[in-house]
Amino acid sequence: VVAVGELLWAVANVIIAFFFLTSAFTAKTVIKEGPPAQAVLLLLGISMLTLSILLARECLRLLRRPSMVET
Amino acid sequence: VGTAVRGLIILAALALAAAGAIAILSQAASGAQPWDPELSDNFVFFKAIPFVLALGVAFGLARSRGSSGERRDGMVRRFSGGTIVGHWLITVGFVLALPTGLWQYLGGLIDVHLPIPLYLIYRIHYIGAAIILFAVAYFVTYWWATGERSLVVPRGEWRRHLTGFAQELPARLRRMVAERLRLDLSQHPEPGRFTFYETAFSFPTWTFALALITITGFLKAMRYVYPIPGPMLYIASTLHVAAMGLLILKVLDHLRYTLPRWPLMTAMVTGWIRENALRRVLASTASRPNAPAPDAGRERDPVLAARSER
Repeated sequence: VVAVGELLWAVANVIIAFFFLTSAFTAKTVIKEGPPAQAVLLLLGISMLTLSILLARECLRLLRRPSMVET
Repeated sequence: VGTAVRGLIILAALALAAAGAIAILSQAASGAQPWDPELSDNFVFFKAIPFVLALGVAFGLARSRGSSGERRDGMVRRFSGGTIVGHWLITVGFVLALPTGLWQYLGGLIDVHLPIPLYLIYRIHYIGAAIILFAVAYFVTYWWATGERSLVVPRGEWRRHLTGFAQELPARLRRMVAERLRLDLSQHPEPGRFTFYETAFSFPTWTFALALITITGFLKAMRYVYPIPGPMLYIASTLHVAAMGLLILKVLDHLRYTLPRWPLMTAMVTGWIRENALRRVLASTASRPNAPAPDAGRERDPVLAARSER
């Protein structure tokens, strides 16, 4: 259940990261603010995407091998 | 603090908070002010902040009892009940405040409007922010009163903790960090109950991001009550969004780190972790030649020798 919840969280973050990445090049306000604002948005999008993929990978690993869950 | 005093503190704080809530909400509902729902909510939130913080301090003081036992039946206490309550409370705050704050920013960025009024998004954001403020005041007071410093790197120990943290990183990143910080990778320091990743990286960055979002959010919330200079408000807004971005990354990283270390997840529910499981988690974080074996003696094991968090 936890792994599924976190997987959904990761997927939602991938979608948000996509919006950040595209907004870095298309959003009028960001373009108006200049390259530093675009770079920040780009960096945030890339970081979110990377961490989301890493989280999704851990979730899938746990879902494939539930025996990893032990106390 | 004695039990009676604790009870009195809680009662006094609850009474004051209730009185404050009645006064604030009756002002907002009187209809005497020409504010729209969004501005009205802003005033309600800002006026509630002192009461929320005071309530957090009172509960933090009231719970400032040390836990009775450090270990039982092969289990080590990793988190106290007070820490668990604070952790899940701040989680609820994040679940409410982070998506709503993100939507306020992203919605404007991509120029999309939800079919629900914006003031409702702000209202949920304020509720989440109030819970986070309560939790921050609670945690700071609770840890101060109990003397809990398990996640804080002691003075003069930063190099040791950073070296341990570097050892936990993938090889390429490890070398890069070690070069930048001039760390000696031939050293293999032993962690305590918390991994070096938690003490040298995770906790300090949580603290920084939470402090930044709290201070900048406070400045933003007070702008209709007290005239904040334009440039300062612009900087506060920018940093508030930056802190939001940092917190989004922190949540992802936190989940990524704890999920494969399942005993850490259960410890944040029960407060306890099996000694063997804790040793395995610590041993798995770095390839330490002197890592204790799962059945190593207690007297040689820094995990078991370490004081439990209260």
